Amino acid sequence: MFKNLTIGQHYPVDSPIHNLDPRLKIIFTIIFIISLFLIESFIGFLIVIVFLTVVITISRVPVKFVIKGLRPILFIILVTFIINLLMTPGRVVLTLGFIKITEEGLRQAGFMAVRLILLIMGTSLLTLTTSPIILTDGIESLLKPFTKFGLPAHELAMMMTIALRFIPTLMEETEKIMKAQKSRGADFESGNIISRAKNLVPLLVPLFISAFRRADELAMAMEARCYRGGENRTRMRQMKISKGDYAAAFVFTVYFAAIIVFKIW
Amino acid sequence: MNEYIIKIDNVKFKYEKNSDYAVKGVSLNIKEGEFTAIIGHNGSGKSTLAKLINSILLPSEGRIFVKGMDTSDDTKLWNIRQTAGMVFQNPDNQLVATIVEEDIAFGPENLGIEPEEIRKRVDDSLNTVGMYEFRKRPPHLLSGGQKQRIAIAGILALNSDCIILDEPTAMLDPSGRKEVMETLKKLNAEGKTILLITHYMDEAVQADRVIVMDKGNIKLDGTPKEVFRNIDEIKKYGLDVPQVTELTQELIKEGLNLPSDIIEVKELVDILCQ
Amino acid sequence: MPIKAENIKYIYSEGTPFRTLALDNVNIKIDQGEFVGIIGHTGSGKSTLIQLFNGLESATEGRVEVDGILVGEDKKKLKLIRQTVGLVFQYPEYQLFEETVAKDVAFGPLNLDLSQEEIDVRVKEALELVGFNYNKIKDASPFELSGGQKRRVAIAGVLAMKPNYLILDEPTAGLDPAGRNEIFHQIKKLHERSNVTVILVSHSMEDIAKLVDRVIVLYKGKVHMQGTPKEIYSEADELERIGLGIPQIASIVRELRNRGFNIKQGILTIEEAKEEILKEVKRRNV
Repeated sequence: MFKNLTIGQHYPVDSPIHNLDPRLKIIFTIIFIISLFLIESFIGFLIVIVFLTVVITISRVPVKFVIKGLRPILFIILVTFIINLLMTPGRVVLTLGFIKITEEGLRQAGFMAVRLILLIMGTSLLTLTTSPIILTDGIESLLKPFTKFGLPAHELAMMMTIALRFIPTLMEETEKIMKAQKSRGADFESGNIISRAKNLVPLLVPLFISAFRRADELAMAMEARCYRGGENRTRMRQMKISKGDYAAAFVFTVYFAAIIVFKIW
Repeated sequence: MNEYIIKIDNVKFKYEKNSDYAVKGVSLNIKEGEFTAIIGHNGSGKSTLAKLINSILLPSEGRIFVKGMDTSDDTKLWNIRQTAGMVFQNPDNQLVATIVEEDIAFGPENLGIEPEEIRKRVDDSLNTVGMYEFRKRPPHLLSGGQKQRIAIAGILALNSDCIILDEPTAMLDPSGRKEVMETLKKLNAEGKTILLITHYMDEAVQADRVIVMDKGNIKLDGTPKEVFRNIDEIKKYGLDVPQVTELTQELIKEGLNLPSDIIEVKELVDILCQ
Repeated sequence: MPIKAENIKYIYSEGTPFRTLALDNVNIKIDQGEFVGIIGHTGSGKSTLIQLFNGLESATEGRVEVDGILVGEDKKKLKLIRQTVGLVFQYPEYQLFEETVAKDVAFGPLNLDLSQEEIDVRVKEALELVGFNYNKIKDASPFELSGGQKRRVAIAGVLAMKPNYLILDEPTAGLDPAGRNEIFHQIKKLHERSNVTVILVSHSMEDIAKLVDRVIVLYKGKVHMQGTPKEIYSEADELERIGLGIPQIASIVRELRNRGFNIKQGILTIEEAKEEILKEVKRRNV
């Protein structure tokens, strides 16, 4: 049942956006986030919306998929909206009992909500168009210069890869142990928080034991295949900056310049 | 071809926490290109022996040479592991990457091989085990037999001369076991030395040579015919013999004139139907 | 009273590209006291089927009845159904979690809210049923036992719930021949001593042929064949065609028959094969 679960919601189609160098995409995403925080007016957001619409269209990812990414943080958006709405002092436009809604509050709340929504849509585009493994490669490559300062770039990337590899396996295992214990009359669904937590012991103990056993065996198998850390290691897949990447960099620079110009002006 | 690829010279091994030796003075030479099966019940020392050859464990006493390299020699470690690659029992716990071809590339990447060469090795290995069309799949969606073939391909990509398999079929269903055995026979025909640790007799029968281990010692060593005719002794070690061998010997006891070393169905049927 | 499965259909991941029909119009009845084998290769639907029997999964269509109770109808009765139908999963040793063997076996009875005395009695009984010396094993840590022993402890954990039906999914997977024989020996004794209905699930005829009274062969989610081991053995070609392993003795008999050797079909043991072959050889020499 958990077998088909995808992590990071990768949407696998072939598009110019999918084919961009992952490092570039990560950098673009970071700059995109910065650009959102530079904007101070709704008209500024218009540029972002136009830009994002174009990118989504080129990426061939259905808009509803991009919007789906908002669902988990809907609550946060709502809370942010309400706090801003109620806590911003200014000219009162509406009074409901002790609640006072100000014009500034309305503006601020709307502004923050739009910013958050665009932020999530923009960043989820990164994971939608980049498979986890390529994303990991990109992160590793970008972090490499920092190894000089003691940052374990390769190790981090390897950990991410192994996590991605084993999440489905462990999910399946969780389901299996849960069913086995249910067959012995275990109850995972009822009771108060304390008894529920206690009821998890028969699930968690076997799961941890199994995870450790797997880790142990995996470590042995990796060593048997001559793994000895990141040093002198090569990669089969090489990341190369292509023409498309240059073009994308140009377009993106124009976008960012527009945001800056708009801000100064 | 008659060069010994693995030489085991009076090796003993003891796990730290145990007082008893897991391997008690084993000597064994394996020829290049040979298909050897090691059988024995759990705790007979057969898996320990495999780990000793791959230099995952080091002998407490005695020495092991893989293509002339001493497994206790630190400087040869990676060379040894590359020469004698190892496949483990649990297919899930030996695949590292989230995409099949990335996993096969893992070994050569560790050796620092050039990207184009890795690509070539990955494609070749995938073709050899018949899994090329699955190269972009995530391993967790494959069957057990397919996963083991991927694990074997991962060793092939290291250009190993010898493949050691530690009960690779123990967790598979009959069709998965068949897939793995067919792959191994194909590789052996192409010149790879195969060392298969198993407790399935029908697999051991297909090898050139069968070694029976019990309590850390080698008890029997010979062709399948030479080994499996010793029904009582093999059963004493907690193992089975092929049913056809047992049936043949029962028929001999009843006065039929049959050779006592029949191990395949066809042999018995041919003689009976003469 | 029996377990009855009527017109069962089970569909996985309905409405997605991964939609699979795991069970298709399955009708099975298993009577109290029977010793039944269910065989089928991976993906034949056998795991799904046994999970329907104790209410871990519920069928998309059709009904499952256990001792007169309709499974899934009343959530409150699930506990009773799971107690009535004991399910031992594949590699059950991975579900052990307590510090001592006795505590682990007590987990099931404890969930049934039994008295401490009753629990103690059941734990002792269950451990003895799978061939342990209770006093020697009760305080051992389950994690220090051998693979075969762990598995027997896990089986005892289900037996301690006193099920009317005991389902074992590949109980010997991954064990060596000695371990396999030990487990089968214990299961056989268990069935003889208690009146528990045993359902053995396997992908190999070899393992279960000598034990069970009736074999149900699943293939592509359907009941493909059903009958006594002898009847099923006679269909060696068909078993192989649908990807199931057949014992060597069955292929010897088949080959001999194909070559005009006049021996009967459905031979299960070496002893039987010997007698038959000797008869035919004598006939030929006369």
